[in-house]
Amino acid sequence: MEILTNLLLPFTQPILLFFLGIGTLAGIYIGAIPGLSVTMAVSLLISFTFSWDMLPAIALMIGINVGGVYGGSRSAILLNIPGAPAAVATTFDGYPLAQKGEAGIAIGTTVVQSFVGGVVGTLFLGLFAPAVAKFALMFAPRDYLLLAIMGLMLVGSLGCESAARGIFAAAIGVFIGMIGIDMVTGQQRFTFGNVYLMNGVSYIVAMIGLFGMSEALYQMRDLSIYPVKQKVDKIVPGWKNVIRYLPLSLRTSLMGVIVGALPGTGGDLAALLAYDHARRTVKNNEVPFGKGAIEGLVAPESANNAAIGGAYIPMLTLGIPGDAVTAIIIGALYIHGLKPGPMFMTERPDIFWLMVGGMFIANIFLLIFGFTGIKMFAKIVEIPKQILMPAIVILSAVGAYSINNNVMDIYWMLGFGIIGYLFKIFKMPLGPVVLGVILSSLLEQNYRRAVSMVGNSIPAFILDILKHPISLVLFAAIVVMIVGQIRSAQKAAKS
Amino acid sequence: MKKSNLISLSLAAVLAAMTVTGCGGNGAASTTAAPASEAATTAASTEVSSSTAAETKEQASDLKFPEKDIQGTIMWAAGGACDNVSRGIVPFLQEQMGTTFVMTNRAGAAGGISMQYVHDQPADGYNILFGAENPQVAKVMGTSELDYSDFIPLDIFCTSAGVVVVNKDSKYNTINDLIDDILANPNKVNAATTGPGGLPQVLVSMMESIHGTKANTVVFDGEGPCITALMGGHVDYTAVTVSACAEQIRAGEVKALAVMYDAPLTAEGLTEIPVITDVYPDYDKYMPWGPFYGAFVKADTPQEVVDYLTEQFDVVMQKPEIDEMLKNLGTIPVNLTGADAREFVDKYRSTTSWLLYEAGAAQKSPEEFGIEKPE
Repeated sequence: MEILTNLLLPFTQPILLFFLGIGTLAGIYIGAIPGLSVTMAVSLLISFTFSWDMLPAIALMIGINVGGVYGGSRSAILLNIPGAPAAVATTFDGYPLAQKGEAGIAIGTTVVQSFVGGVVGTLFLGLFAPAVAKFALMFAPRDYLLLAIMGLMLVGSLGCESAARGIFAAAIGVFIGMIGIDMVTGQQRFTFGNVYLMNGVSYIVAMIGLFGMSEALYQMRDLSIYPVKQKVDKIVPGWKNVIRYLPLSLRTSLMGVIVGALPGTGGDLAALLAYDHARRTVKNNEVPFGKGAIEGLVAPESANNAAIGGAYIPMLTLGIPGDAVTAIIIGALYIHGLKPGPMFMTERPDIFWLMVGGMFIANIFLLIFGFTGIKMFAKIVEIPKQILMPAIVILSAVGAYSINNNVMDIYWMLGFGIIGYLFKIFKMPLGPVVLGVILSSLLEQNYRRAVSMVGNSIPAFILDILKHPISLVLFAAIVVMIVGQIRSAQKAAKS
Repeated sequence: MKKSNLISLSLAAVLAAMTVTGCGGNGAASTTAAPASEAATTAASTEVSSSTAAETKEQASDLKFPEKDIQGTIMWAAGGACDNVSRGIVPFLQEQMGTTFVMTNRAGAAGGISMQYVHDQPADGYNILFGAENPQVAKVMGTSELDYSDFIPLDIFCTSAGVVVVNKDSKYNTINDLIDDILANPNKVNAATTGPGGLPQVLVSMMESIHGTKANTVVFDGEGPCITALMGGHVDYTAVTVSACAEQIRAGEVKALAVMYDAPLTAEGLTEIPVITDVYPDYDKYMPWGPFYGAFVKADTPQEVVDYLTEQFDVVMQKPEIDEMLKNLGTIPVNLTGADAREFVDKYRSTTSWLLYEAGAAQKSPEEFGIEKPE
């Protein structure tokens, strides 16, 4: 009964409803702008809400988190520029839809799927938090390594015609991720002694340059092509449509919850793995993947919003952040005198249930606000290129600078823009580059951890994988994926 | 057609404007943070500050400082401990000095980017660096040519202690168990660290230098991930800052074997943890040792400006609200200024640089930079 009171508290206090709503709405727009991330917004909110009461501050942060993760998909669909790393997978099928004039349908689908994912994530947080947290703790460095390898397998299905090009692009991404101080030995790698390279290249800067800047450069090659007129008369997908994709969205939501709950991985990896999963399991899609398949939107969008609830699980049950945003929320909770830790659920069940309730309400707001402004948003694509492209360049520069208040990041963004432009001219896929940058440190660091934990011995490391059930299952899944991929490649070669 | 174009154009304009303000907000929000929390605390502190403010104004009449906004550069990203401490103190300073502090986070290269940035600005006292202990090992680690010998410490706000922790089901129940086992099984016991120069690794090196223990270090990307790995049973022990594991200790999810400090912790639920210098008096020569947060200006800043700023920080740091805030953040308030502050940061540099060098983690010898070896 007490649980129910706390769960429903946001409904009875208009001020909490108000902040949840405002947060969600603001989050959608913050998330839609590449470079303005949820992480950044939440950390700004910490100083902004320093003197506020605790509950409105928490409500605002939850709202921004839920809205922001969804918002990243808007620019991904309309401009081929993911608003956040978690929306990279959304560009693969979202942008082709916009090019066909179906941006309205694409956005409508992402709203509904984000809602489905968000609700599944909230349910897991409310019902199974302690169990999921215990499961997440069992993941050892070797398991993170195997997960990262699974992510890399996506290169094979990223819609590039040539496997060699995909692998080359991913390798460049992994290389970019290796720039900076080596964590284990402290050696500098590819920094040329430059202090600005010691932390490596921010993958958000790489993403803005490769997608945003390069797209603007590429589009400006031919300004005479008139933009596609967008159909925006029917944007709300019908019930039939939602139910049709429900089995897929439930599967990918579950993936989102687990990957989100793992400390050290978040919505970006969840969305990529979910997209890969959809490509492998969905057979009877109307449109092929990479050409505007609705399934290609359903999977990543449900997964990355489900990952929010997942990321809150270790934070509220163990005091361990599940991703970058929850790491900052933990700081905020400390400032407001709370002690997020293993005792949190027993000491302050009221706050725990309030956060669960708040997250649920934020998802309802998402469903409402998500359908606003679509018609106008879709028109952005119809703006003449002479005006739109310079605006994208400015947005990219501002976004790159605002990550660390560092001018050097703007130069990096421009450099990546030119690399991305050349890639596009030579028909090299850009998705695998960003995939490589995102997975690079996950791959390398966990490999080194896993091997050093067993005394720096490769045979012992392989034995270690075979001895642990989680590792064995992940390992088997990778083998199945590789075999399947080779088979389908052979089939394609025959026909 | 035309009309809809117009709408979408203005929408794009709004979007662009939002980005610009969003970015400006980075600076602006930092400044808005101050008046907001000021409101909450003014009531308590007006009495003290009005008298002192009047005093200092009189003193500073011929100094003419500050005549414009002060730029604060925070060494670590928003939301981290360094950021929380700095942004918590600044509102009180603004009130005390009647000046605006524009705070900007310039994270990166373990503080190297902030050091470089402030060092590139004029030495006039208008650029204050809010930093942590990290630059003090930058020279031997080869990551930067700057450390705090190129700066003047205005105030060292607080320090913190490390604590050795193991999994709740671990076979180790005391620090002696752990050390004896590492001695008996060299290179077999796994310690989670955050890489060369980080607090866990320095503490592992300290144990190595005193007991001759050889642990197998596994590097994680932060103290949080170290604790996660420990709770999952993937490593045998770790030594992290108290604030990184206080809640897990209180909940009994991890066992604390020793505080790496020369006094017991005062926070609730942590007072019972054995103090390392009680168990092994050999640690006396290194203690007190721990990460610290403080404010610095570039060397060559005019002495009267340094004196003025030091006094302002000192007055503010004595407020009970700040003391409470620093304790809540899991730190030990020290408020060191002048020669005391210099001595503290130098001792940290000497102890840590030599420990890292002798453990083989440092790239260069501390001797190259004239860093004296601790007794």
